Amino acid sequence: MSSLIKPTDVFDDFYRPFGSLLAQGFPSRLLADSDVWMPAADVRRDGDGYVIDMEVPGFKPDQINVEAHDNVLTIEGERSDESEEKKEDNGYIRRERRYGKFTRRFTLPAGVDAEAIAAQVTDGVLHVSIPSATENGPQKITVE
Amino acid sequence: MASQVPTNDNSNAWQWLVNGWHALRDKAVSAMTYFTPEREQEQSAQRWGVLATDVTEQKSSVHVELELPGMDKTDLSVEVLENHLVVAGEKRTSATRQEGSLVVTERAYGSFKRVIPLPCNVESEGTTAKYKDGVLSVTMPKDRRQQPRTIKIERG
Repeated sequence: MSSLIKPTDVFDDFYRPFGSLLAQGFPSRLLADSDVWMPAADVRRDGDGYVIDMEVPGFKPDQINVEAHDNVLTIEGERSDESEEKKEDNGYIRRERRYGKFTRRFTLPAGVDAEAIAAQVTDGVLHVSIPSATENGPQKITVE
Repeated sequence: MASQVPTNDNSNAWQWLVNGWHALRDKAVSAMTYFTPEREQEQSAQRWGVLATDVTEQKSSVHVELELPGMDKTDLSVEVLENHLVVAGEKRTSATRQEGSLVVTERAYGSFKRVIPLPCNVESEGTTAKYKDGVLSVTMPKDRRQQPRTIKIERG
């Protein structure tokens, strides 16, 4: 899994994609199983909450991690190519599918219930529902 | 600016960029697939989607895996044409997607067709296709007439 080993240079993030691209050459960096992997997602409003549908074909539920922390929803997925080890004789004619790790982050708007976020995978689509915190009506706070 | 002669290590940067762009394009262009939206009002939908495909060649068969998340397998058609695999279908928007307002749209919907060149002729008979976890897997036996045969040389 060499693709998971990332350079530790702190400037790498800063210069990416152009700095490292110019320094190391475009193809090797971007065309190798690099870290630029962003599965397509739709986000729509659902009542007062939100729904995210992200395309994760071939991923099993245990290969995906959904986490909400400090108003940031992080969706991570990781998978390895089963045939990676016998790369020499696996007979690849065409390789377009990606393996390794992806991370996407979404900023959660105010008024959603991070505790009640639920996720499921169906036919290669990850469905994340983010309900509103006020779904049960506005919370009445008594002034004493 | 134009008259400046590049002297540092980045003098090849533009060539790198061009080479890189071409390599990237070569790699991705066949995976980019045009989606024709089912309704005109589906304006916000993306028109291009990536149908990433792996093709592997085994001794007597060719195996294709195509990423097609969120499909109904009844909306998919798979056709074998000598040394090409034709995958067509319609990716429908779910009823719930049409409700509520879209905040981000990156996924493509509509009808599409992708023709995947194969390394050799295959037989449609004996071809199997399976759709699981948003991945279409097709295994096709190689055309027996095209497989190399070892011919014994007899003593004259």
